[in-house]
This record gives sequence, C-alpha cells and structure tokens, in this order.
Amino acid sequence: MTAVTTPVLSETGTGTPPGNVDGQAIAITVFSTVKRWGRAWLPVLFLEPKLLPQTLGTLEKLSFIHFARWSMVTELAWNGAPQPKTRLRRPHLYFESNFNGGWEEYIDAFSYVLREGMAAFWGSSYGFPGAVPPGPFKDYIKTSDRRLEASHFYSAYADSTVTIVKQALELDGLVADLRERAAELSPEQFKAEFSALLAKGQRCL
Amino acid sequence: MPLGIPGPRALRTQLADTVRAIADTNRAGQAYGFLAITPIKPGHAEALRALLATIDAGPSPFSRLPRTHFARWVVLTDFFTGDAYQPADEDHLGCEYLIFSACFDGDRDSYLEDLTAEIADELDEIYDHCIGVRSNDPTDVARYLVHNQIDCGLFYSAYPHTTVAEVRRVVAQRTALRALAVAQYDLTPEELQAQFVDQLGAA
Amino acid sequence: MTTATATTLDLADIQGDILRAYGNAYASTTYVFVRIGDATAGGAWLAGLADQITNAEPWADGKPGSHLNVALTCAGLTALGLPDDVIGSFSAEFRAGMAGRAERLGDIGRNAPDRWDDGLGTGAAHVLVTVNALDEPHLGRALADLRAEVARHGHEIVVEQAAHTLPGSREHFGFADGFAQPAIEGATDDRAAGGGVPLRGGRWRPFAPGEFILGYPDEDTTLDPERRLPSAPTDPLGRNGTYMVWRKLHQDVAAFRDTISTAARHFEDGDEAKLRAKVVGRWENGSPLVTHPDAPATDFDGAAAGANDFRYHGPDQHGAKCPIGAHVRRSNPRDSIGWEGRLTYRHRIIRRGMPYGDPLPVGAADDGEERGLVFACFNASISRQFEAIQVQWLNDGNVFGLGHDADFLMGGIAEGGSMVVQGECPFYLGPQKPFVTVRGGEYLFVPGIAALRAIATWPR
Ligand code: HEM
Repeated sequence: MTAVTTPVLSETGTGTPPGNVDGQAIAITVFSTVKRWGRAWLPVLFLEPKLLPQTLGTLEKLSFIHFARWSMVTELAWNGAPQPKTRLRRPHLYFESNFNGGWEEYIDAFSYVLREGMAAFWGSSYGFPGAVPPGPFKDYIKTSDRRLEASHFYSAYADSTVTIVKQALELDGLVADLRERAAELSPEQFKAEFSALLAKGQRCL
Repeated sequence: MPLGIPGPRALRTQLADTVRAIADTNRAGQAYGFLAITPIKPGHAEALRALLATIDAGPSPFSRLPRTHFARWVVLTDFFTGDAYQPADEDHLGCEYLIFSACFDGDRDSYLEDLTAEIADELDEIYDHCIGVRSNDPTDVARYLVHNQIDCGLFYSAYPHTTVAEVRRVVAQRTALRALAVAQYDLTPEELQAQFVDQLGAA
Repeated sequence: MTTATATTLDLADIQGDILRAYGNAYASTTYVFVRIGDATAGGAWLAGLADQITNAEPWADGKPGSHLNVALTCAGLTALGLPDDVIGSFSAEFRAGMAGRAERLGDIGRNAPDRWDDGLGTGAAHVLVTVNALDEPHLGRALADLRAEVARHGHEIVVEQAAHTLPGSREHFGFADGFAQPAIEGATDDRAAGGGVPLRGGRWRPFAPGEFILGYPDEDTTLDPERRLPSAPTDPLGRNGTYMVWRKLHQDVAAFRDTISTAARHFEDGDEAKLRAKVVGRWENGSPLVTHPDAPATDFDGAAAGANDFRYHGPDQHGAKCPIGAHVRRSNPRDSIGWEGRLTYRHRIIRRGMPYGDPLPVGAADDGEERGLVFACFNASISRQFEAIQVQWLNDGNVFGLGHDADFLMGGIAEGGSMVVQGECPFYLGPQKPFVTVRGGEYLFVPGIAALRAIATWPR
C-alpha cells in the first residue's frame, strides 16, 4: 500500500477492504467512542456476559466467529518523548473479530437475529443508530468495518471456517474410536463399522 | 451443532483451562488474546505501512510461530474525526499508533519469547518506527509490547480448548475421511480397511 | 432520503415478464445484444423501441404474437452518453459488470470471461432486446424488424442467442423448471404460501415489492418507522425498473447422466431417478422431495397455488428427505439454516430462464453440441440477491454445514467435488464433473418505460 492515510475501499468477495482478508478469514477492527454511562455498563457486561445468554448462544449457533475481543481503552501507556501525553476524556471501545466469509450473511445475522446483543455492546457508543430500522444499522456496521484496514492479517488455517473446525472436532472422537479397534476387526466387520461411522458423522462431513 | 461429550481426560483439561481463564480476562480456555497499541514516531507512519505491505506480500512471519491462530497489525491514524455522531470535544490520539493483536495457544510470556526469537528481524524493523523501543535487544521488544498491552474486557473463542496443531490435525482428518467416504464404493473391504489405517490410522 | 407513501405498483410503467412470467405461452425467446454506434442514433432507436415494449398490465385483447423487453448494460448507459454522476448512482456491482465480478462469482478456470462467447463480458454488449414469440413465424417477423432497425440506426448485433421451451417445461437435465418463484405484494399475493416470507406458525406473507422493483418499499422499509426507501439510481431512472442477471450456462448432459447412473449402482436398489432427484431436491416432474420423499406426486402442478408450500427445518432438519445440499434447498433455503428464514429471506430472485439447444436423446453419447440454460433473473440488488445465492449458497456450502462443497448440479468450480445425500445410510455421491460451464453473461438494468424514454431523449 502506498501513501494513503485512510483506507481505500476496493471490492473484495466480502465488501471489506482487501487487507482484512486471509483466505476464508476476515479481520474486523473497530474503535468506537463510549458515552459516559458505558464506563459503568461495559465492565458489568464483560464480567457477566451471562446477562446476555441469548447473544452468546446465538453467536455460538451462528458459528462464524473464531475469536473476538472487546477492550475498553481508558488510557494509553506512556513511552517517553516524542509521544504526546494523551488524556482520554471518554473510554474507547476496541473490538476485533476473526471470522469467516459470507458478508451478506453476517449483515443479516447482525440485523435480524443479533440485535439485542449488538445494542448491549454498542448501545453506549456514539453513532450507534439503535437496532430497530435495519437500514441505518447496516450502514453503521459497514462504515465501521471499512474504517480500519489491517496492514497484515494472518490466519493459521485460512481455509477452515468455524463450522468446519467444530465439525472436525466432533468427528475426531468417532474416528479415534474406530482407529483403536480397526486392526482387530475383520474386513467385513470393519466395513460395517466404517458405514456406522459415516452415518453417525454425516452432519460433520 | 452439539459437540461430542468430552471424556474424563478432556474434561480435566477443559476444567483447568476454565480456571485459568476465570483468573485472567485475556484468556479463553487455553487461548490467550494479546493486544498492544504502540505510538509511531512522527513522520514514520508511511514507511511503516510500506514495510508492513512488503511483509504482507510474502509468506506471513506468523507461519513460523505455530502457536498463532490469528494475528494482525493495523495502523491507526486517529480516533474518528469529522464523524457527525462524535461528541464536539472528541478525543484525539495526538500521533499515529500501531495496533498489534494476536490470538495464540498458551501463556503470554512464553509466546512473546517465541515471537521475539522467531521473527526478530521483522519486529526490529517494525518497532524501529515506534517510539520508545530503546534497543534492538529482542527482549526489549517483548517488554515494550507488555508495557503497551491493553487488557481484554471480554475474549470469545468458538473452540477455546483447541490448539492450532489440533485444529490442523482434525481438519485434515475430516478431509481424508470425506475422500474415503466417496471412494469406498470402489474398494473391497480389505482395501477400505487398509486405506483407513493408512490415511487415518495415526492420531 | 426518499420515504415510501403508497405502494401500488405502477404496472403501466413496469416492463412485462418481470412480475408475472409470460410463461409457456411463449415457446421461443431470442436474446439480442446490440452495440450502440452513435449516442444520438442510439437514443432515436430506443425511443422507437419504448413504444413497442409490453408493460406489466394484464392483456386486454388476448396474447400478442410477440413482444419485446429492453435492458441495458453499464457500458450501454455510457455509450448512450449518460453523465458520470447519473451512472455513479447505479450499484457498484452493476457498474463493474459480470465479467468484472468474475473472481467473486467463481467465474475462473473453465468459467473465466476470457473463454466466454464473443461479444459477452467485453463491454461490446450495450442493449439487450429480449424477443418473446408464440411461435417461429412470429419470432421470424419480430427479429427481421429488429435487425432492420438496428442496421438502419448504425448499430450492430453482437450476440443473438435463441432459446426455446423444451417439452414439459423441462431443462436439459430433465427436470421441470421455472415455477418456484417469490410472491410479491400487489402482483402475486396469491402465491404467498411457499413463495413469500416465512412467518411463525407456518404462515407466509408476500414480499415487499422493493425487493424486486426499484422505487418501492423493500423488506427493510417495512421494519423502518420512517419508511425509508432502499437506494436506487437517480430519478426518473430509479422508478419501476430493476436489475437483471443474464448468464448463458452450458450443460454437459452426457456427463451428468453418466455420473448419476454410475453412482446409482451403489445407491438404494440402483434407483437412478431417486438419486437424480436428491441432487435437485425435486423429482423430474417438480414434486418436492421434502413433501414427497419416496415417490413423485403423479399429478404435480408447480404453478398451482400452494404447490411449494413447505419448509425444511421442521419436517427435514437433517436432510433425510431432501439433502441439505440439494439445488433447490441451497438456492432458496427457506428456514433450512434456522431462525425461521430470517437469514435467507433477503436473498431471493425472480427467475426467467429458458433452455437453448436441442435435447440430447436419452441413452445417447455426448454429441459435442451446445445446449444449456439461459439463466435470467431479476432483483433489486444484484450483490445482495443473485450474487449472495451464487457465491455463498451454490459455490460454497459452509453456511449449510457442508464445508466447501459446491452445488453438485452446477459442477463446482474445482473438479472432483462430492455431495452428501443424508439419510439413515448416507450416500456419498461423487466425483463431481463440470456439468455446467459459464459461456458468458452480463449485468443489466431494466428501466421502467418512462425511464427508458428518459434515457432515449437524454440531453446530449
Ligand atoms: C444450468 C444450470 C441450472 C439448472 C439446470 C437449474 C435447475 C433448476 C431446477 C430443475 C429447479 C427446480 C424447479 C423450480 O423450482 O423452478 C431450480 C430451482 C431454482 N434454481 Fe436453478 N438451475 C440452474 C442454475 C441456477 C443458478 C445459477 C441459480 C442462482 C444463482 C439458480 C437458482 C434457483 C432458484 C432460486 C430456484 C428456486 C428454488 C425454490 O424456490 O425452491 N439456479 N433450478
């Protein structure tokens, strides 16, 4: 990338800037300025995400986020001159997500099934449009996503989606079981057991 | 998707992971989420972007750190300016910052040790553009990152007890099993058994 | 921002064949792509065409023998001299064009634009005139008139693609095609059951018209207390028009038949018809597997109201009846991925395809002939609707829990894919062959009739 200070939006498969993509994996990095009441609310939410059992359950079920983090930034460490001493008047919410492709799907997910959760995390941020009319809400997500482009983004298994990883983990138990017994079985017995494994594991294959 | 019921050993490691995680908000299970935001020297942001672009064009240095699930560097120019929704007395950063974030297996200090050992050259070049790294001593870069670390409020992982190596192993195993499932119809039971042992026989 | 008031569709200004299919009444369709010579001559020609276009109003005095519809590519709008700011008000994907979106669409390798038919994907195709006719004599006359007018104005025909219905409204692989369509408020309300938005308790409602026609409230407007309208090109272009996707898809019928008959030897008593049905999700006569898992309904009429009134999640969550990866379950998953369809209902299209080429006789070896489907569809947002279906649902299987499996029927992007036919004893169908290959295509804008006149007479 050359001398640009704001990310140039170019089209990729996801609508996100190209620096945020590695194979199937997409990086989102978002800062938002938190209203004063968020300073009290967000720590409670972080400590007790069970306040939102539905949101976490929905996230798990939607199965597209590998790792995500929220941090409330209230100060920046001082490293000596010439770093300016910055006093932050308000907290800033840092959010990053490492998720897998299918942008339209996520926009739908955020707007139609994750609204309460989005409001809990971003309702105390300036600019958050409220979850109700999907139009402005989608614009908010899209603009936030496009603001920051990673200069380098790495995924160790860029072709594997969250669902694939979870399916592969579930299959592992079944495969291990047959593996342990494979040598003792007659070929016909093995074939029957193999078919049973494929039947049991069909939703993960 | 309901995951398999963990056996007693898996349950023990998961319990241990959970106890560790409760003690440290930067953890989810056995995984750690590290974030450091460091100030960029005045006038260096463009050179830093160019350097990161060169790194981005080649094989990622993180591929030399097999504990890394995900990692990113992002240059931050400022909090948002000129956004109609921001308060009038909006905060400004005062200088550009470099965000470094990584999700990896195990604990922070040993990871940073690996990091500074394995990708010393890249780190040297990158953090040379940042304010406050006093020497090219790799341990100093690690200390520097820790000094500028920002703790997680909440760290989420879809599979908090699974290491990178495990992810890679089970995913490859899934692919092999699927291929054998399709090929099975043309194989005798003997051949099927032999191919299973050959391709899926080792954990 | 524009807000919605009345939602009555202006049928006199909407081109025909979008909201309601001309259907099998019209046995012959020819797609004529024209390159505009000079902008002023282009305007003059379009002004003449605008008078001949059939609108969406019901026919008062019987079926016309033939009729025309007009659509334009972005290159066409440029060639006609529309200013940049007007062109800039069209969607990004339309401006990029289908060839410009090739990588995203999976149009690489055998499907790549550099292998497409001459005249497609190069910027040479400016205007698409679709000629529908009752029979060959009507078609011949309409085409002769069109060719003469094109020549008289100094334009050039770059592609002329003939297409014909096959007996029984089948496509070349042998399946009844084209009847499952979205139900639209104010136009096809009677098709809501099975064609509309799934609601709780097994109910349905028709789609807001803005999902398919520009200038009307869409599904997000419905949820917005301020009733904001979706974005559309600058007026008057943003009224009563829509976007169209045109794609010529070659079908390798011999390879498809061969793959099924070879694989069926290991499938439930060698039942080829059933294995074929599993790939599509419907039997050859169209009856849905989810409602007729063991044998087709004998008298299935896909066009009858309620013929498609079914869901997937409740009756068949795990795909034992209709495989999760079957073509119709991917291309319109309804509630297949849960949440009562809320993650899928914004991705619907109106299909108006037509087969081209002669059928390959049953049992015949590949004859090397060109045959396939002219896939045409209408939607208000190409990226949200057509592209989402193509990219996320047909080219990949992740959202369905099918890893990177592509739709088996489409042949995949890479070779050697496979499909899981779920069931008590699941069947692993493979290897996939390049059954379908893209021969070319364009993204088009179908203006309302007043908008077409505005384009024709744009101050140049
Ligand atoms: C040569 C290629 C294709 C063939 C042979 C084919 C065949 C079929 C058949 C037999 C049906 C069932 C009949 C019906 O519902 O009308 C169908 C339905 C459908 N197809 Fe295709 N198709 C092809 C390409 C595509 C493409 C490229 C798309 C979209 C990107 C698509 C989207 C759909 C949709 C949305 C339905 C309706 C599903 C429903 O509402 O239940 N098809 N297709």
